[in-house]
Amino acid sequence: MVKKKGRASERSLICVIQALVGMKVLVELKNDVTVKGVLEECDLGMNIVIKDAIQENLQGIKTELALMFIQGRRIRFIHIPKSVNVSDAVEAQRERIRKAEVMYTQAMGGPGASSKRRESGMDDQAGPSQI
Amino acid sequence: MEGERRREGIDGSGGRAAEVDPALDFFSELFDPLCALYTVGLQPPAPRVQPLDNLNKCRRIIPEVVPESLANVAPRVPRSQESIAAQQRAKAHKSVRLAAAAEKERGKEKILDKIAASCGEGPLALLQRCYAQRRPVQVYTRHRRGLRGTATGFLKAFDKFCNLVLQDVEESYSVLTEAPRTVWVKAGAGRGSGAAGGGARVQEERLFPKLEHRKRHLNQVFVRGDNVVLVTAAER
Repeated sequence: MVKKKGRASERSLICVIQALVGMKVLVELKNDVTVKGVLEECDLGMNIVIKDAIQENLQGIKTELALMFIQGRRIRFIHIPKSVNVSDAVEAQRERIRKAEVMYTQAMGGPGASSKRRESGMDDQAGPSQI
Repeated sequence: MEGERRREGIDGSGGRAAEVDPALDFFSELFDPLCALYTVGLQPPAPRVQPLDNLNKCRRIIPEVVPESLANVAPRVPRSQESIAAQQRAKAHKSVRLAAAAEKERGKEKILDKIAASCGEGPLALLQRCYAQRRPVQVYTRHRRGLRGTATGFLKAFDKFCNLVLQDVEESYSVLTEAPRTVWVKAGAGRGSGAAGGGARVQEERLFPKLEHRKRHLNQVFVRGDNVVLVTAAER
């Protein structure tokens, strides 16, 4: 019996970063450069994409960049806004993913699909061809 | 549009004029409200009366012979005991349902707890204990050249890579900056104009690396694991 492994992002704190997607964060890099902007994307290697970034170096020189990719290995800190409750954000993100998965499997004709179709009155349509 | 013809004697004096258009006569069967609205200066019989909000409120005043009158509405049947009992049951069920949902929420395994638990054995058990007991930790961070500084805060989350989420952090760290300093430099030593004779010394401003110590307070930070050198339970 193979043990069911969870999502790779949920086996480390990557899920926290992914829960912060869409929020304005300040990323501090290992070379003491700070990048402030909206977190657009984060992958399993903590590589991130920041939108509308303002990069500030130690001398205080600021640069505006529309889109910035930061390699995960270069990150030192990610400052999280004070208003964010980290555990709630992570649980909310998991719930969103779970709901999206449920809707996808229903649309694809998985378990619960027929009842869902009956409810919304979509009787003669096959699952995948709709999408 | 019909009629600029006015209805005379609106306030009752002088009686009704002979040529009143039936479409504009408020009391006639052929009364046309749209027409009346478009007629400039036409006043209803009692202009100061408060208008009713909707047609339903009109039901009280229309005569009983009219089918829409209130008199023709069937009287409300008092609710049966079964109906009342069924409603009580439904209400009780709702509170039970809410209580069950709250219990489920409490019992649901939070992912951060799960990740922390996966590091429960071995050296990381120290982190796990500080996480469970909400004890403050002191984290030593590094930069390329050596020890960077220390950050003291509460452990909100951690994992096997030592990625941490710290709250209420007091950080004291050092930063390598460049600071200008004036130095004596030999003129004509490859720089500037060779106007002065060789061997004369001039002052020049140069940037020198400087180790600056800084302190700051942070509300919430995510620390990437490879910056962590040492974690110890702190006394706050």
